[in-house]
Amino acid sequence: MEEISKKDVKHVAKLAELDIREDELDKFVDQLNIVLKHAGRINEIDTTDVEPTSHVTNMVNIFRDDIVKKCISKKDALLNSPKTIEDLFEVPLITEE
Amino acid sequence: MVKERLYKLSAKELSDLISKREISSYETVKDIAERIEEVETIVKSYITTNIYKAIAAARKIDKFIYGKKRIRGGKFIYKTKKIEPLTGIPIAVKDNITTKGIHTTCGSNILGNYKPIYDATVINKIKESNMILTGKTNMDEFAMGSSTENSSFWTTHNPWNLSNVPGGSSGGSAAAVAVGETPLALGTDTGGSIRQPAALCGVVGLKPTYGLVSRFGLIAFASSLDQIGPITRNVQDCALLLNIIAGHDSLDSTSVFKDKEDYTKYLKEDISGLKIGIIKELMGEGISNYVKGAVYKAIDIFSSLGASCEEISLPSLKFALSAYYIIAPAEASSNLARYDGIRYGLRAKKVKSFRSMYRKTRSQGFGNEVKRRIMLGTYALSRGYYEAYYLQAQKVRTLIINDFKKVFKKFDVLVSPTTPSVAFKIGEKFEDPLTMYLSDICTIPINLAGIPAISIPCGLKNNLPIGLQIIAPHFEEGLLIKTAYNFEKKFNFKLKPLFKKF
Repeated sequence: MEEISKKDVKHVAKLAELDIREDELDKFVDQLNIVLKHAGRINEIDTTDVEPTSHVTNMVNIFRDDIVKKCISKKDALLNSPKTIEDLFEVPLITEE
Repeated sequence: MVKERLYKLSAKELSDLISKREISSYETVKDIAERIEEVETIVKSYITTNIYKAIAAARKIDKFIYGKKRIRGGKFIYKTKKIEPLTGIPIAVKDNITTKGIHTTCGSNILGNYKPIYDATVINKIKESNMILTGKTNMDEFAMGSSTENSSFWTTHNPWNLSNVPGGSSGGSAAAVAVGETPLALGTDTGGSIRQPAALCGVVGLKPTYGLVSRFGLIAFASSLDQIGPITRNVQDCALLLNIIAGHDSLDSTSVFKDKEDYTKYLKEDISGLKIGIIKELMGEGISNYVKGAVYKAIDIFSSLGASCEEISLPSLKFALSAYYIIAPAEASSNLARYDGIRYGLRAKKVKSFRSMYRKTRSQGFGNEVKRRIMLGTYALSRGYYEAYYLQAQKVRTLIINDFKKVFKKFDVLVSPTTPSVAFKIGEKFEDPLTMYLSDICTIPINLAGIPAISIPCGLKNNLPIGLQIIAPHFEEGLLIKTAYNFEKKFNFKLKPLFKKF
């Protein structure tokens, strides 16, 4: 497996909505490469004709009847929000300048 | 005669005394509260303590236990005839399990002020069983770690040696049980987070089968791996607590339909004729010699009890750690996308746009290990790498599951060390993620296969505990309890060094 670069880490951080400070970047690149090198070992094993695991106890889909039940109140739903206005979550401008 | 402090007793011993009305729940909780007062500033097991509410709850339960009614002839009798096991017994809960109105931080700054508006199903179950919540225990942030050093708040200290880690991520729960700040605790285990700290703190930790215990209200880390389970001072307490938390829950779609079992019935069975496999791959390179020695001594004990023990090989296990460090971060990167600063949790100050709110909130709120795993997972799932990493890891997972299936045709249970060494020094592995990850090398394969495993103390090295891991097929928790209990009785491990004053 090829090593990941500073540019890759910046890209991945962007995808994950994380800001990585320039002075932390080298450390993250090194640490991620060490872990990825170890993780890359999985490609040493032959998995031709092996199905990927989707569930460990072979459970199938669980369905329930679509019946309205008691749910949390609007007031409770807003209780933990850092910023609310009336009965809405308040957020900054969505459009970027 | 000086009365023995109650915090030293097991949950079963306390429960028997409460049932006989020799002690009250209030006395029990009060003594635990005093113990917390004595040691908490040094051990730091808890993020939030719940003492006032716990004492109030204990008084209420005592009213129920001691409530009398008048019968014919003017006599008074107790209203409550049979007191259920664990009624009035204190329990600590890991801080990634939601508790209504009580801070639930998940060890993270991003949830530093979060007060859930509902209780997790396991919390409802312990409340219905009249157990008493002592507080929320410390953990590695989002359960990512093996030492509690990744907690956003502080590091918990191993009660056996304060300069060592208690393990993690359920390090707070394990340390609290070991030092007497609670007789019982709940932990969670994604790659070893119940068993590894239980081993390092000299207590009993069980990771149940995937789906046995409801995860409704558990803050998700890696959803195909996470399980809630008991951390206790002995196997009997473990069985009692598992009785309470196991069972189907319609609120968790991964919860299995299965009849309720009484796990304490397995405490009565012996292990003669039991077939035990010793996992070769977990007894080799990277495992300290003194750990192997302790495991071989344990195998002698099993043999003396009539079990047959034989070494077996599960070749795919050498890829388990690698596969785990793709699968778990991949799932985490998706689960942790919800922390956006809108509905709950931290929101960064002075943000001008939506995007910068996301970025700043997540960058300020998450610690480095969480960021590493999010980036690792995002990378493994991204275009061009998905097949080589994520898909391949899920295939390797199938091979691991198949290996376990194969050996369980021949053996009833398997054994291995729980950890490669005893508790390491605080700071020793902090800057070296891979070395830290390697401390879960024996526990990770079990999560990948979704099977249950228990860790029990099996020796000491430099006065630090060594853990033995026993592994069983899906839903065979009974076998684990039986095997572990027989070992414990014969081995007779004492936790005395822990109940010291610091």
